Amino acid sequence: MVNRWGIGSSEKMYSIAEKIAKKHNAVIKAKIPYSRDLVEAYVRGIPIVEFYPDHEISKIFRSIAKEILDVV
Amino acid sequence: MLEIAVASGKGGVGKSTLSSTLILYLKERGYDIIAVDADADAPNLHLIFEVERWDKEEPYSDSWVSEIDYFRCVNCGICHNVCTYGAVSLVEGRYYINPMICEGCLTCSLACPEKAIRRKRVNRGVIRLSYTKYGFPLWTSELSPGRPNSGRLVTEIKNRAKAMAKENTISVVDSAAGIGCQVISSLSGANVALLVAEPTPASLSDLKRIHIIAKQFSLPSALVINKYDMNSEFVEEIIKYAREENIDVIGMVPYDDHVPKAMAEMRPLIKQYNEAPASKALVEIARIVEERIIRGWSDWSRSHRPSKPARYVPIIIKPGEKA
Repeated sequence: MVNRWGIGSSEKMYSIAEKIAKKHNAVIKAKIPYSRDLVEAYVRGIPIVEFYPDHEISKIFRSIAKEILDVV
Repeated sequence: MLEIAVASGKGGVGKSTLSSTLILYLKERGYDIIAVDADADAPNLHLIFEVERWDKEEPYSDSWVSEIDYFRCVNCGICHNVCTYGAVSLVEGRYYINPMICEGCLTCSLACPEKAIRRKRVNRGVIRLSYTKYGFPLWTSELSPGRPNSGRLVTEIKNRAKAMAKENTISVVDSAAGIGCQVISSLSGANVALLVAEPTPASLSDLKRIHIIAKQFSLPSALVINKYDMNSEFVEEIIKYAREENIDVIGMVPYDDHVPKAMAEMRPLIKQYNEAPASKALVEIARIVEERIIRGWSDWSRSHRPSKPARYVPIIIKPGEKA
């Protein structure tokens, strides 16, 4: 998982992360965009998937959760 | 020398951002500065200060692991039975000490009837020094993965910093998150605990825990509330706690996207975005640290030094007794 996508030189860092992942036979599953909405949910102590169920980030988390469930 | 330890308990609340601002501000004001990155597990202050090469780099090998001499070993398994760390296991029919788990306590060596276990020196980690392009030395260290006791490394680089300090040097120690071994080393021997918190229950809870350690060392404490506007209702809670505990609240910093941006761009915030709201707030805080704490040291430390902590009385359980 790549967090805070979109700040700094994301593209450049991403290619480095990709190389490292490949070396360890891992896959990059998702990019979580940097968003203040996430901060807002965090300070209220509510997971973003409940606070903003339709948020782009919530969708990413749900699809990852689904994939994990498929494996187990 | 005055040693300022920046700590927070909780991670990601702004220790390194505050430390780096304070270091650069004081340097520009003409102070003799030494920076210490006291996170031996995951050091990264050198990334903020754009360190490209180390002026000094040496292994720190005060650590030991036990090793079986297979010419003497009769495979009795006593070492396996006595090891409290579970470092000894059977590998392909022979007992083997896993160096990643072994703490080097030598219990197995004492118990071994064949005297088949010797100890071997291993590197606990590396210590490094760089004279940064901003004109101050930065001490840092890195724990070897799997080795215990990062606090020993932190103490070592703090001592190195002390050895090169002059009478009026300011040493800024950027401690790790948590309240464990290496954070205790960061606060031990410091003069001030500069604490950072954000207005969340998690941060307040961790602030209380780190402050217990500061009190154990009788350190006067100051507090910076970071990202205060992300949950302004909770700020009052933090201030209330600080007031009860005689912690000096020296400033608040707004939530500002420039902070993670500067971090991703690997530049000090006040050099990259000196007009950003967080930059301005942090520089003001650095100014207050200079005026109130450094220049007003005798008054400030007297009025904020905690009363002597209660003596720590260990609970002793004798063999056969129940806890």
